[in-house]
Amino acid sequence: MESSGTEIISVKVASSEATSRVLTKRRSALWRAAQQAPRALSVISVVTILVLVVLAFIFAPGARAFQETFFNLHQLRETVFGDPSLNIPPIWGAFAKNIELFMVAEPIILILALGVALIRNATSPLMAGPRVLCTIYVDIARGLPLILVVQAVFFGFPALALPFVSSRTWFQYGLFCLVFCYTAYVSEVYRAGVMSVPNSQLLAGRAIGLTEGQLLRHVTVPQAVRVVVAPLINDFVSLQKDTAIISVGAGVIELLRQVEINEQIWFTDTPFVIAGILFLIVCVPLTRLADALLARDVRTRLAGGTRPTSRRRWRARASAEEIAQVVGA
Amino acid sequence: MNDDSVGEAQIPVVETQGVTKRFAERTVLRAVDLVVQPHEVVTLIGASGSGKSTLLRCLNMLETIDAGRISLFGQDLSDEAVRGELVRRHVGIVFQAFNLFPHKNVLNNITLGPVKALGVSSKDAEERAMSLLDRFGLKEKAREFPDRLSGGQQQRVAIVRAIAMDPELLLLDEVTSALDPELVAEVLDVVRELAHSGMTMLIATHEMNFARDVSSKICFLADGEIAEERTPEELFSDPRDPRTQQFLRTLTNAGRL
Repeated sequence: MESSGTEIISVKVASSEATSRVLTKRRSALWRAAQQAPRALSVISVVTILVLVVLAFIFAPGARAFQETFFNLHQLRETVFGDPSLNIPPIWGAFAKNIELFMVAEPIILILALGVALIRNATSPLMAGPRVLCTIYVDIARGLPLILVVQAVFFGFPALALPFVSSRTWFQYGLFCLVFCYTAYVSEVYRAGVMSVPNSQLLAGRAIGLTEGQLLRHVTVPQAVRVVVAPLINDFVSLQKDTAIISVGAGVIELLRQVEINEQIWFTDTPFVIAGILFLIVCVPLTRLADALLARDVRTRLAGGTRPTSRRRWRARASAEEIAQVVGA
Repeated sequence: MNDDSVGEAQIPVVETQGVTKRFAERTVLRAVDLVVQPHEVVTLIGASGSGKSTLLRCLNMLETIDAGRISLFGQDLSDEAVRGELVRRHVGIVFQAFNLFPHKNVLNNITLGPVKALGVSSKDAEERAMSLLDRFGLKEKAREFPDRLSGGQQQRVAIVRAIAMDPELLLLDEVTSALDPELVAEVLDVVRELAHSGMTMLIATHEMNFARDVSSKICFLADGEIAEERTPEELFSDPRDPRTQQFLRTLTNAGRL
């Protein structure tokens, strides 16, 4: 009984080994196919989706009306290059306002947010008061929708009739709204970055005799920045888009305001399409940059660039040996 | 090392009296008295949580003490004028988890302290770092980032980083506890070489055979106090304190001794 039992087991083991060998062989063939497939696969899938979208545009029941409203070539041209007879200025002027808002707001936000983050991270009892104030500010600024802040500032500040506050330009009001809301977000990003540096790193820095200032400069900040760059660019992108919200304040003729004016002339949505395209032209490269920076960081630290290739080579060699074994047997 | 000092009263590198440390309600160190003479290698052994790491961190002021007195090289650390970072320029420490800076390559990990804290020129610091790396067989790793090194290599780099500061005292905090067994030897070899070169060291470890080899004195810590302080031969052959006996028995039964 016993011997037959072990025989059965050994037969089973042998057969399962054979199956697994065959399976490994098949798997490795699949694996190699999969290694070469991604490029072809992605090309095919992208092309398929594009074709479907174009077909929908052309053959949808309402395709004609849709094109007239959203992609009216005549209106496209007039919106972009302007038409003096209809009193439409070229779009560049309005879009430059968005870029200007963004370019001026961003450095101010980066600096103020660093201050807020440092105050909120400070442990000294002397900083207790400012810390509470900053916490309250961040809670409020993050909780309020930008559009409400714009309403409040554009209608509230002039109404206050205060000497300095109420006599600013519309552009400065817009700037204030963006800085007010985004400083809170960016300060949180900074804080997350600083807190992501493990305590063991601070110990290591102190252990080689660095002062607290040197520790911040050579250990904490360089590591925090790596963590923070991608989320910061994310916030830049969001800020760039949100410059459009300033349009509800009405005083600044920026991109969205301008295309709304154009829309009032034709009652079509084509001008909005232009606005969308312009925002994409600015924002997509920024998001790509964020991804590229992230990828570069991972590469330098983990040398990930060399890893997949070496693993692939190992897989290929192992399967060749397995095949040789199977053939030999 | 220095023949002139023989017979004269040497200033001990470390001298603690009644050092006590509490974390909240828990007392981690109770009235620890410890003396380390120049060129001595003193080993702290004892179960996890017995206070070994805390004692080391108190000595270079990474932790504050609640009572007692610590002097290093005859200088009382409780003096208001003593600043932690100045003490740590003379007292190196190596951690269990290496704690290398992941954003700096091996060479820059090593030169950061000498250049920024000691004011050595980068060129001199690099030359010295390269010669130390060469001495411990890590020369070709100088431009690598820590994440690409094995645990043993990382810990050797961490030791080089500490001794690049030319410390007068080196604290080793369970430097092999985070390593795979096959990597322990390469790190212990480095420590042995340092011991032979006359480096004054205070070592917390669980490697009993290593402790027996390398130590001039072994302190067995239990419940935050030094239960027994003897030469290695005496401690391992004739432990007196019942807690030491129990500890060594446990290790023997576990096949670690």
